[in-house]
Amino acid sequence: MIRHCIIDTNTNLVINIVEYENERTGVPEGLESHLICVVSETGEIGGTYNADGTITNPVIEIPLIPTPIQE
Amino acid sequence: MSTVKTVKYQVGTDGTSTNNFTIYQPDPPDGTMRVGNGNADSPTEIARFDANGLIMASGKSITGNPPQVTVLTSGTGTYTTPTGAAYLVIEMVGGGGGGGGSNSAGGSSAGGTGGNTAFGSSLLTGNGGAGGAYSGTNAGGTATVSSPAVGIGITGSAGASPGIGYTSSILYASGGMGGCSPFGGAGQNQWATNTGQNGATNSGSGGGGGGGNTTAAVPGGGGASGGYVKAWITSPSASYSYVVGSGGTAGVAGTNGYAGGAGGSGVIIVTAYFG
Repeated sequence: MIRHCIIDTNTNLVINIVEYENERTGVPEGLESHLICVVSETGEIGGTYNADGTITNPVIEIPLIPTPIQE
Repeated sequence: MSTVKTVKYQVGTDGTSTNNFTIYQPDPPDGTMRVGNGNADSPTEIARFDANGLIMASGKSITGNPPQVTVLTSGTGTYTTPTGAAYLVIEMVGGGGGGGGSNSAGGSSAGGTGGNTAFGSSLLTGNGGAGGAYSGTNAGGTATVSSPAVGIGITGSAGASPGIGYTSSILYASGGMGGCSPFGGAGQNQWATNTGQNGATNSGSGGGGGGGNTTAAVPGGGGASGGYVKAWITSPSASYSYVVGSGGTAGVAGTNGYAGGAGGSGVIIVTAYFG
């Protein structure tokens, strides 16, 4: 299975992640025409589809924690 | 206009009696009208009608079109309702979230959120479960059922937080268990050198979190399961768009850590029933 990001071309945001048996491009079968699918192993929902075809994922803020100390 | 009054009426005159049928009243009459296979002198009863309706003879049954089941396991597309379908039953789930990866140099990495599963336009939705995060709630995917469909939409199970959310000294800490959907298949949490287990394919369940080994590491949270829907559509449309959400990616292994498991992909099961 090949992982694809579904991009909303109105916002350039990743709105879903689906898998196809074969690589797909363009408008996903059965979905609205403002959506496109792009092969990506790392893109996540909420990520931004860039002009160069890459996807910048949203930053997950992790609370500051002390560095573990080994005994 | 004339009226025919009789106690037996044979349909067919073939030389082979089993090619003929008889509609008859038993002797003595008992308030039933029977249909049998064979000639009028010795029909074998198939069914009878009484004042309340049809009663099949022992060993006989009413057969019609069996339900047509379609299992959509990936991708997007259009479901075409079979001709003559009286109603549809849809069972589906969003993709499970990925389990978090453990890390000794800070918080554990989060798994990816599962993809959203949908059937129809703004009709049925089972959203993906959240990835297992160090400090998150690892919430299950939400689910919606909109008119004209009726049914239930159940938020997925949250991924378990590790028993020890943060540790600076405890070795071999386990990650969190993946949230389990109604289809089962949750990824097991792990410790030592094992990566978290993946949620089962098409289960919509979360992946398990990675744990620690001989160096203390912050274990990964479990991925949540996707939202679950079971719904009925009594007057189906000719077709429906669909999308099956993928499983969330596994959280990567950090320093001295181990990766989580990927979430299980979603699924849509459509059963068409005929009148």
